[in-house]
Amino acid sequence: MQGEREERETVDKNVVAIGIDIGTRYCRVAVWQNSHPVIVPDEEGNRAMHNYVSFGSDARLIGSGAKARQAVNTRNTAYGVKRLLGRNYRDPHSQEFIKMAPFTLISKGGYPHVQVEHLGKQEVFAPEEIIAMQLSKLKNMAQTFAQSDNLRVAVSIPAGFSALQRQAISDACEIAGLPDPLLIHEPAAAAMYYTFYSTENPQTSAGEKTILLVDIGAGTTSATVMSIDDGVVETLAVASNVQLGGDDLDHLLVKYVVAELKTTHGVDIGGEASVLSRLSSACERAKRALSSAQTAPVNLEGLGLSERVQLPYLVIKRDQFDALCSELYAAISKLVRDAMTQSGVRKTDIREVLLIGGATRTPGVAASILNSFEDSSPTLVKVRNLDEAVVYGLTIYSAALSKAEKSAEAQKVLDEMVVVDVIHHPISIAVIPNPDSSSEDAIDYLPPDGASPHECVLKTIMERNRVSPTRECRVFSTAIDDQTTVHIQIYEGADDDPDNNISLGYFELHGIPKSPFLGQLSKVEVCVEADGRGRTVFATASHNSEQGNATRTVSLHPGKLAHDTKREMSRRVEMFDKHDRIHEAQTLRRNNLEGYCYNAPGSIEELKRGVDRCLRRLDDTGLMPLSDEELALQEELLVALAKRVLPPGYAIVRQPA
Amino acid sequence: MDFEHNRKDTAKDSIRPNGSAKGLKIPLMDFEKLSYYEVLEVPEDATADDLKKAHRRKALEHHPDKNLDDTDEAKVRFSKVQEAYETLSDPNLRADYDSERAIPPAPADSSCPGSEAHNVSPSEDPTDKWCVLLNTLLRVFRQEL
Repeated sequence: MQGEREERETVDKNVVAIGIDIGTRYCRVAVWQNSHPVIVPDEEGNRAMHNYVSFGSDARLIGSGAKARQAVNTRNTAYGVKRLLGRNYRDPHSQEFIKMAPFTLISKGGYPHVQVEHLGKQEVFAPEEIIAMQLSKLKNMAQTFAQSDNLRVAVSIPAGFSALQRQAISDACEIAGLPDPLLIHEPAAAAMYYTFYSTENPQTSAGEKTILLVDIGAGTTSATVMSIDDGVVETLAVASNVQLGGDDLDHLLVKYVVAELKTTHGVDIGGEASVLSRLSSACERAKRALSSAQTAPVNLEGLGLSERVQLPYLVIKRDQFDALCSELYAAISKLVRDAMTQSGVRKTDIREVLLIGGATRTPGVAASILNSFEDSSPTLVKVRNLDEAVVYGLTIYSAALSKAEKSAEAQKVLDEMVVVDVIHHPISIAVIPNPDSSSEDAIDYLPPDGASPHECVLKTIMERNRVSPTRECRVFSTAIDDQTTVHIQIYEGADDDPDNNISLGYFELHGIPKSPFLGQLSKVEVCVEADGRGRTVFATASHNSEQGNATRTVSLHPGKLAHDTKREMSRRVEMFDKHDRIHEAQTLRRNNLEGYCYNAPGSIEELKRGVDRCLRRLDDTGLMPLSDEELALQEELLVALAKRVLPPGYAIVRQPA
Repeated sequence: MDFEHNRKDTAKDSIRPNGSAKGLKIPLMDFEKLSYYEVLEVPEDATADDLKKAHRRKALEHHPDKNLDDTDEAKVRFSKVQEAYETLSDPNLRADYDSERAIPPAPADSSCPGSEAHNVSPSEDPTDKWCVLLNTLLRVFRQEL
């Protein structure tokens, strides 16, 4: 075994394991170094990158630079587009986002796209492309930091993301030149982080325990019940809401301030997108302040309303804020209850509640979670870096799955860790129900090709929270005599109305023979396989008889961008990256030249003084012969001076005698 | 086909299911035929706590993340571990499973590999599937009698 490992290490010694957490508001990247995850800071030293991409007449800015430029480049700065992934333009959640966004969103092929002016041209970008631009920057940061191009990447997907949203993240990775990423659910990554550090620290590892993990990011919330025993984490149940998060707390505060300004000052800013976006930042700051203080001001001075509103700020009390957010708190408690019910774990058996994500800093949030435990009181665990738990966990995950670790001891720790995840949505298949539904063994019918979808109902093949990877086979029957084709349609979701679910795909199985038994219909077996990573769902249908059998397997990728589209997007992202690099190099060169020109008068003055000094020395000595050493010294002094004050390229080079 | 059967038999003799933890893994075809107790490597009178511990140990051993050399095979093994644990950890399902195992195999079984445990993933051979189906029917028929 030892020998085998050494050999593997030599093969993979250049692999660098990294984790990328794509949040609604921030992105983070960490690299596995010296047996630990290490956050890669951006060029300004920030450990988190704002999800802003700013376009313009010269170059793009990504991250904090883009956010800083937003105030003066509002219409050309895209942010928060993660909320649009996998959603069509008409989707109410897209519409809500479009209404609030101060940049232009248009419908292209039924999906929302960002429209901006860039380099003097109008450009339209899919949300996947905007995310890919950020991923590309994070990739470059990690490559520079780790000094390697051979990356093994784990990328986060929020709990409860749909198949379409997971696919969009996967496509964005591909566009950014991060092929084949490990897609890891955020709670699984957080659990990895939690167990990794409790394995390291024997004091916190108190054997087998059941915990509740609540992760509230800017845009998504989840509650997960997990059982942990040393390095083995079993996910028992996840409940999630991908439209709930810290941003919603800000929105409620924004709404309140807007209403307040309207009633007390008669000023209506409800329709002014750029004012609202600035107010949103002011409200976020107030919310953060309220996490430790009892009152906080919402600053109104920077909103550009000085003409209309004389008030410099509006004071918010914590009670007032909690009252505003009570419905959100209730929604979070509901998720906790849902996860608890699904897991079948009693409240008294939860030993610890682990809080992850920036929004859990709001005291009301933590209080409402604890309140749902009534009389039992689990320990509230707030890790020091609750914003970074996911990116750390992803990096550990990536290291565990890449053999990037050099030390045998650290490898052993990784080897003994595993997170068993579950599927976050049920998977169903469209069938014609058996009229004899009272009997438990009644086999449902598969519709023939061309059957009306209204005849069908959904039959759940896999329930939500089923352990993944998983495979399930069911036997169905053809619906009518002499039916030679079955139409198999697979959905994510279990809603009775197929339109409320996501169609994962469909396929047909042909050439089904008539059953050899009189009065019986032919049997078709359908198997569904889900890897739980959100990467693949496979469906296989097969029938067999004396005449032979037929099997058809399809891999389902709903909403996947066409290969050509992705390649074109990838080319565009690369082109803009290249343009920005050239632009940066040009700017640097220009600044250097400009700097030199400003310094030149001083430099010439200094050179002149040096020349004068040299001449004086020669004059002073008159006709007396100078020693070779003295001449060499004077010559060297002058050349050194010229070298120092003149830029490289301009220096006077002494010709060899 | 014949060769396959022979090879399987010898494999069964030389590697006992309970000795598989260290290094050598028993071939997938044999693994699929193991009883749920053998899959989890627990005695038939295992307590709920034993099962929990065994399940975690087996999850770590067979999870595809821990078997990067052959994740496809690991997926099958892992599903089987899951199936075994889900059945045995539920007292009702466990009782059903135990009573089903207590019924001696029908004569037709000898020609049907993989039919002694229900819910076994069907093998690729079409005749096997027919056998499984027939057997299930037979079993249901006999139980009803």
